[in-house]
Amino acid sequence: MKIELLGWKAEGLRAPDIEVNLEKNDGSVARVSLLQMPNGTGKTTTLNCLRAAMDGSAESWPEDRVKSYREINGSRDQGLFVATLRVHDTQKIIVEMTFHFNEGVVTYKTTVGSKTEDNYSPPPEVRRYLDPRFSKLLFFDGEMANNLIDGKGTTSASQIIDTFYGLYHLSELKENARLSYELHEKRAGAKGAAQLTKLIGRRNSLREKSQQLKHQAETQEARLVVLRHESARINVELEEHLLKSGQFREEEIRVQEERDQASSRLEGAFHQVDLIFPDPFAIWPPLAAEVHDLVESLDRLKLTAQSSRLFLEDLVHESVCVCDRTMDSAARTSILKRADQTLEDAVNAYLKSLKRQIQPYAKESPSVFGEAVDRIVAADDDLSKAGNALENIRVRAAATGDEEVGKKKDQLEKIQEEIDALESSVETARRFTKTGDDEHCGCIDYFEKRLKEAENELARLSGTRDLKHRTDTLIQVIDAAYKQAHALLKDDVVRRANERLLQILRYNPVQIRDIGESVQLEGRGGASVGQTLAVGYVFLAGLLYEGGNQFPLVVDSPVGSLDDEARKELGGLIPILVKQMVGFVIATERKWFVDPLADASDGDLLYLTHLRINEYTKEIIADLKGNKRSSSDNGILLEGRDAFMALGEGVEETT
Amino acid sequence: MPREEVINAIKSEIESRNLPQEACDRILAFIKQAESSEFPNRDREEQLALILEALPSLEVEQEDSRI
Repeated sequence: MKIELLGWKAEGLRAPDIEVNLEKNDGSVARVSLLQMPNGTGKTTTLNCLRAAMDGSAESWPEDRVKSYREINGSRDQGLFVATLRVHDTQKIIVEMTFHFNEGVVTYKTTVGSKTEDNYSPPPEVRRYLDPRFSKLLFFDGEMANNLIDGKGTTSASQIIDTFYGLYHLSELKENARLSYELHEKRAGAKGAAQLTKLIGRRNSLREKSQQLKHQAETQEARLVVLRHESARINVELEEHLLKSGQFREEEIRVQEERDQASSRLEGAFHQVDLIFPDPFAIWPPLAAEVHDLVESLDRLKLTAQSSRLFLEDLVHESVCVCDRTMDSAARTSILKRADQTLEDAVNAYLKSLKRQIQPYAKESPSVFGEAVDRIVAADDDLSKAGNALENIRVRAAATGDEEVGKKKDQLEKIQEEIDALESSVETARRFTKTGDDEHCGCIDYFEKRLKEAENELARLSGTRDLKHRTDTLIQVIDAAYKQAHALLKDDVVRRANERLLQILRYNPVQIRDIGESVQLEGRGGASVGQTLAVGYVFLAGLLYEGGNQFPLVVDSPVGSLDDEARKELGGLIPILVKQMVGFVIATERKWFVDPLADASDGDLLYLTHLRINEYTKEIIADLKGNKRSSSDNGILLEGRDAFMALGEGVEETT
Repeated sequence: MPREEVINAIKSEIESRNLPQEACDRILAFIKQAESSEFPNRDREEQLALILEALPSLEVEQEDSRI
């Protein structure tokens, strides 16, 4: 699916009347359109209207919200916002929203080709992509990339994957099935059984409690990721600070080396245990002696030879062979001739191979597995010692009055306290239920089991057992299919994003480890602001442009409060990743951002400056000398880099 | 159409549980219609009923487990 935003028009709203056309002379849209809108020109109004025009959501806006879009001191009873989209380079879709201020409602008109309908009705194949769950991802601000990494946003990275690939339809089907079953159950309960009503109440309260605990555990797990990330970052900063401070430099370097060596030994020992695990004789050498004795005994008894011969000698007395052929004299002769060899050969070969396999363990040599475990213990001890030594250096550094060390140590202690409390809570939530658990415990498994019991009892009492059984089967299928599909799609997103990150961050690569509530990065240290932004944009752009798809990205304040370096990095990155970006900026965002953006866009950048016309701005507009792209009684849209860059640089911005 | 990964996951879950192919087809039909955004509640209920109908009854399952 390819959707482009061609432009919009506003009349009679809080924003000045204006028409913004993003098309170039050849009819295409620029890769990047920057729209500079100083405070007071209705940036928020425009962004909200654009979003509502795309997803049809203004039909359900409350009355006071609609009225709040009326122009200040305006006399018009109606306002208008029209957005124009283009699908697959050919089909235009025009969505028109009329604001009826007196009534407090918004009505829609949709024109597709030559056909106009008096409601919000984009073609079905496009509508899926304009659904609010999807289209909200096309509108983001500079913080969204950060939120994706730190998990503080309202939409998790994992949910974004579900949205892009339509996995939420699976959840919808599951929810439909659950509600439908409950409706049947309620009808059965309406027959008057008080016990049934009581049981429904209990089932609902158990479900609520279980969901509440799951949500709490997920939130705590997301918080743990953030805290561990934060703790790693502060630790790195602390180590760097101590190395700089001189007094503990040599000791710090030595202990860090010891720690790294211990860490490497620990990893090696675990790897060795991995290799040993498939070999039972290596794990428990006495087993080799036992098996050896068994093989010797079998050898002495010649049991295999006897049993196979006896079986075949019996077989010749049958009228039909095991292979269904008639047992004639030729077959009897042949079977008796080979009776001593057939099974014996195979079994003997196996026993010989087994003997060879256990040979190395027959000697009284020390246990390979035991040695590997000893190495793990020793390396873990060394790691702990190095950790304690580092902690000791920090304590001594803090005692010397190093404020920075003291401050960071306090931060780490606070974080660790929170981590300990959260880990304990998550552990309780995720463990299996045990004896002594009751309804005050925080164990999800306990409530899930009670819930299952209550549901089964309800189904039995209400006579809906068969429907319950079918509904449960469907829910199990959907749950498992969701997990399978989500894991595959997520792995693919991670793989593609990592390939892209290696290309665009060649000198300072960062990789995605996993996607859960947040996008989790490889490595224990924190990523720079620029790296974080790159990951956020690569993740989103990878989804938006997957499989030939193309959607417009409408970005409010793309650089926000980023520092100079991060602005430069982002400016050089966006045109590589997106096919159409419409960025709403203010003058202070231009610095360090616009030039790298222009370079990376190869000139495919449209500079627009939108101003409200009043007595004060008339002079400013004259000074800017841009090309007028459109204008009205109260607003003007100028085109051109010079006007864009001049606003606020000696030419006042305030309107 | 639902994503290939979704189709394959549903097919594989239906097969691994020895459930009828018809149930798989009906689940996929439901998701296909949900994706089109034109799926009134009444149609949803009807399609859901068809899915449930295609799944084995409790009695059949109990018979199977006895065998």
